[in-house]
Amino acid sequence: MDALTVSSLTYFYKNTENAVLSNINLHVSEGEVFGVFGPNGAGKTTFLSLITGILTCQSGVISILGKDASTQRKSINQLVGYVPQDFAFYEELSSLENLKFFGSMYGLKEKSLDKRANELLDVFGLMHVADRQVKEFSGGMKRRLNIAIGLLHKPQLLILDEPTVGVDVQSRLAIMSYLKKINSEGTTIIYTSHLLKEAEEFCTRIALIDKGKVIAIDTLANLIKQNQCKSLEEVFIKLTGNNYRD
Amino acid sequence: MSPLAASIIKEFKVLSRDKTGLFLMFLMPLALALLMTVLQNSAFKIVNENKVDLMLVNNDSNSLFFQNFRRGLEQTGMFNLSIHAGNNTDSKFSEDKASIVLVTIPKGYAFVLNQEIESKAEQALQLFGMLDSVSVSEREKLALKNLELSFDPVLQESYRYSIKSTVISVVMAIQNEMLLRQLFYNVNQFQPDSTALAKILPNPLLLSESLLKENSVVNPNATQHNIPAWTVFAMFFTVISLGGNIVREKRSGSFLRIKTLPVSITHLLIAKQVVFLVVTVLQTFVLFSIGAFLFPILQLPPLIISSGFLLLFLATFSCGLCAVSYALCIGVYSNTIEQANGFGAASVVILAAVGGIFVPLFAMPEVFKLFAIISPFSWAMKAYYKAILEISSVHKLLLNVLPLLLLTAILQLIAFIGLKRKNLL
Repeated sequence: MDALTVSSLTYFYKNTENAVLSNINLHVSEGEVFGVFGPNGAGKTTFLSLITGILTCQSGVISILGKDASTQRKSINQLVGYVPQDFAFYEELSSLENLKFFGSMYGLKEKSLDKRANELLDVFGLMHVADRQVKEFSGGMKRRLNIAIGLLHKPQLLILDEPTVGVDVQSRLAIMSYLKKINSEGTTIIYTSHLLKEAEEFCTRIALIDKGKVIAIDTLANLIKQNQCKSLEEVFIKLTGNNYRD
Repeated sequence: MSPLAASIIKEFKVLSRDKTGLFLMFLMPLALALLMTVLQNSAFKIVNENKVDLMLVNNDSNSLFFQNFRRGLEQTGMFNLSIHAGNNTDSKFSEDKASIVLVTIPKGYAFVLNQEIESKAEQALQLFGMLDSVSVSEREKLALKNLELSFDPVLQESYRYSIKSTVISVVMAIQNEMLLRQLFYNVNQFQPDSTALAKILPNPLLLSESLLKENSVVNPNATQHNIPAWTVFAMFFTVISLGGNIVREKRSGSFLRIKTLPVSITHLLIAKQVVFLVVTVLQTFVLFSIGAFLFPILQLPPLIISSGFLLLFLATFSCGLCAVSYALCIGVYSNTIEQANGFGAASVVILAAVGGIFVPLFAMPEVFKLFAIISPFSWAMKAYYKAILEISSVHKLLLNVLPLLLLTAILQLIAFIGLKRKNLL
């Protein structure tokens, strides 16, 4: 079963003539780490917003873990974890309080929630500041908490929007190491980043999006081979150009 | 734990750590209520309780009229008299810092008044057919002098008129007695017995006094106005905290993250409103407790709740719902915290000003009274007045809070549309 199937997905923002996403077709198999890359304004965030249900699909079909996103959103959300690029939690609360709140939103019972929250605090090196208000945290600590919240309910599909942006090397390595671990345990990951070196090590398949269209989709090795490049960055520049993007 | 319960607990925790918000919601209105009550209470006292300081200057040699006039003024219960004799009354009045009214009995006033009374008595007897000719009128009459009445320029016109009427009524009572006495003398050629005369003098017209509204049991005073007024203000001022809270969550992405969870964002919005509704009830409890228990200790009028706690709670619940819905709207439509705080605070102050919070409605200019009709603050004040000034019923109160509940429904609808348009629902 595919973790994600997208067919003929097109999306327009209000009062705009050009589609942000135009006729996107792709699928992500279970257990994959699927990278979505593209320059600024390419449509990555809109794509993730449509998959996560932040935006409502206007045209096309999205199927997640065998469920139709337009009719089974609630049960899909129970199986999917989303880690936005923004720090989407409550800075006035402690990390433990944040985890408990979001865990309750996922419907986790108190006992299992306590256990899971402590487990994640431990994994992401936040146990010693579990009761401290998040507003006192460094950027790296906030980033780790942001990810931990998305993992509370052990999702089958994890969607990560630039999960390591702005963190130090230590935090990045810890985050990537844990993501690889859960992927090896069966969690499918959809991932966006501007750190293409990181993506080379992490992704099993890659989609390049530009101007609302999928311009390439394959394994890293095939993309490099097909485009006669040495790295993902070279492929990226070759396919999307050198010009600034808004 | 259910998502709603978890959201309520989360909101309480977030709010309890918002020190500025708590200050604005509790301490600021409390300080304003205390300050405004103290200030307005002094004004109320001047008008309602304090006697008017009146300087009485007697330049006349006749002591009988002066004594009667003085006694008459004292019996009105309206004046604190300071008595002076002789000239330079203006300078004396200027030196007397307390007196705000000066009454001067001019030289020869009593003599001329007596002459006038004798003349009137003879004219009356002639009219009754008991006298052929009027002797006094044939004599050379002196022009009747006036009592001189001067006011401190700060006194309002209505207040001057009231003092003037009182002084005139005292003089007329004396003149009536003098006329009756003179008539008796002219008929009987001897002075009447004072006790017997007093019996036939007409009693002063008695008025039965009551409050204008049928069920009113408490006189409006500074406390009865300011406590509900600043409670309503405090409720609506939660816009700073709740509006800012919503904007912060929108901007941080928490709202969007919750959209990706298997719960509706409605849980979160209901939780926010429940928590802030509890805040408005707590604000009422704190402010009304201060009015009832602390104000009397500070020599201020105590707060009295005439209709009981059920009606007070209903009024509070309705006002609280409306205030929270208003804050929700501001939060939903504002894009930045600065917008929410700026517009929220300014709109609340303006609505409060036209709604009779700073100054009671009855004391406002007519134009503003028209504006007050559209301010939910005035509707809230009417509901509170119903609950604390009158013995009212749930039915009557519900009629008063109906506009607030209607506005609540409209604001909720507007917020819902805003959330939909901003893709938050």
